[in-house]
Amino acid sequence: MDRIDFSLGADMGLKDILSAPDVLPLLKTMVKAGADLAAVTDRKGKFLWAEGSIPDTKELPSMAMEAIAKGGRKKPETLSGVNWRLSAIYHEAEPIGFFFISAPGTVSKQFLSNLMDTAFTGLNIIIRNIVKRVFTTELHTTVVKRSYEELIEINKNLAASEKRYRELSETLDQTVKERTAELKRAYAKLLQQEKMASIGKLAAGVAHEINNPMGFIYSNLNTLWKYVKNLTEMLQFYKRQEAIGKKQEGEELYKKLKIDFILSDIYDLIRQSKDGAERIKHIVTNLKGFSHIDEAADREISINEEMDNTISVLSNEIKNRSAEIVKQYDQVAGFYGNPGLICQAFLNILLNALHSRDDNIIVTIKTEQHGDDAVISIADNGKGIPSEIQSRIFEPFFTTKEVGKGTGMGLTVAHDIISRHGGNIEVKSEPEKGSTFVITLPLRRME
Amino acid sequence: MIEYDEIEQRMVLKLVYYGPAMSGKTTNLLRLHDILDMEGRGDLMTLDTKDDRTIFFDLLPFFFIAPGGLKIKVKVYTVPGQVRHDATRKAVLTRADGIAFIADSQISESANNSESFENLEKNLAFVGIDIGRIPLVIQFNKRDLKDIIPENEITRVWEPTGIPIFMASALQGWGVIETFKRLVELTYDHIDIRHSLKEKHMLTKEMFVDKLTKVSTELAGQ
Repeated sequence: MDRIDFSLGADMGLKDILSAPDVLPLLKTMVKAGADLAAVTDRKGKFLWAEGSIPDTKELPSMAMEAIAKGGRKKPETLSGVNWRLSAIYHEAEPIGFFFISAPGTVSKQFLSNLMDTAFTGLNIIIRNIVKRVFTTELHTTVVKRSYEELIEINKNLAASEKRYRELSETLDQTVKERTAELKRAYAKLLQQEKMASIGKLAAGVAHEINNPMGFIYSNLNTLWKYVKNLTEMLQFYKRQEAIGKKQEGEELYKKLKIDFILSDIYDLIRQSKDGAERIKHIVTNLKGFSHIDEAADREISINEEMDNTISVLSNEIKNRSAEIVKQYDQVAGFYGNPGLICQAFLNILLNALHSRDDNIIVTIKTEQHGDDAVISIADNGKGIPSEIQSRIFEPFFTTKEVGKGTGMGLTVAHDIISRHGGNIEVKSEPEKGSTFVITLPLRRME
Repeated sequence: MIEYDEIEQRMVLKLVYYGPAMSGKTTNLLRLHDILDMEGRGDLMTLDTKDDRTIFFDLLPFFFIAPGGLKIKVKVYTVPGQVRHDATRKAVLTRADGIAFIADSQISESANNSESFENLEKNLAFVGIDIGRIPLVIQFNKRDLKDIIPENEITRVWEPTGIPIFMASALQGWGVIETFKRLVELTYDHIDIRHSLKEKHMLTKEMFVDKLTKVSTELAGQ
């Protein structure tokens, strides 16, 4: 804001303070009351306003002029002659003019003095009131002007800050929503990880517990198989020997004991037990993989090579299902990781793809490098994954296959392996068109 | 600050009595008006008041002519102390040549004193006056009352600042002239540096101070 140039009551002369309408009525009254001349002069005695018999010189009569020149400055200053009175007019202690009246000889001195006192008092009141009014107006104007400018300034600032806050509050709502959604996602993810971790621990425990009895069951079954083979051979030998002698009795007992049926069924029985044991062993292996009971050392591996290894492991399955594998490999830099685990992850996803439909399966495998990431996508032309279960496919023991056919661990293990390598798996799926699993692995992972 | 017209041989000085509301600024001017000789001293002009509180300002003018012919007018103003009249204070403070800060000695008024002094600093800066350079005196008024800040405590706080401190009771009439006299002396020193009052206008400090602080003979005789 500009500094105001303001000096209260800037120097004022009589003409600045008084105007004819202020003074003339008073002077006229003097003349009416008996004066022959009533005048207000400047500080040198020149008339500013006058009434009555005004001399041509338009200044004080010589005797009054002489009195001024002598210059007594006592206050209130009234100089007097035989038939005139003269008083100095002061403004802010400074003499700025004179008030003069004269009267014919017929008027008494006392009357003249009284007239002078009355008129001079009146004039001073007029001057004081005008000066006060001028000062008050000046100050008032200044204060109002400044207050107005300040208000405008304040208003401007307020408007600006209001705008700022309004914008803030508008975006705040949006920001809060975004942050809340972000938090929800993070929380869900955290929950999922927590779940996975605890299930992993559980799985590790279960795997360990099952593995021991599983070992001897499997081994026992194998031994039993051999035992039964020997027994069979022995029995058949006896049957042949018996046929020579007590053929009749032996035949009856043989039938009674349903030996033929036992001999034919016993192998199925053991084979089924072996299959069951095999399957349990497989689950345990997966659980081990998931909980990383058996860790191998990390090293630099080639994604494309590991993919080829995985495909060759699956060659039987591919042939059996007469599936077609389309490879679209790009150059991918070396990746530092656990080859066994990575292969396991690829294998589980590939298996999933190979089971996505019953025939005419086409699996397209793409590898490429995006900046510092290796991106591997495995696409099938299968039935797709219904959207309501898409979020659950990586959950442990979640499977759409019949009970006993799938372990529900394949994708869980794959997900866990990829996560452990700092990457992630995303799935896109359209019903009846197929699913694509996209694995992203960061290449700069050197530990 | 100072208004000086070389051709007209006129100089107008502005002294301002500043301070919190009800500290006795107007009473100081009333006392000066009563005590000082009427020669060269004008009437005290009091602009609109409300409930005995100054809402515009009071003005006590002085006028005299230096031996060299320089006409000198000294206008002594008060400001309204109430917080709400800040714009008026700024207007009155503009182009001031000297300041008397009238503080209220009552312990209960300490906060108002410092608030008003801070306001003075702020407003001086606003009107472009350096508080470190402008002639400034401080008066602790109302020494006649009870529950006032002890003098030694005032001295301890203010002495290091170098600002002249006066004890007064404007109501009883003492300390008022002393405060004004020191302000006038400081103002002379300040102006003399720039306008050579003594050399160019043959106006000595003694004359200047005497013209403005001459006690009325009627009172002097009492």
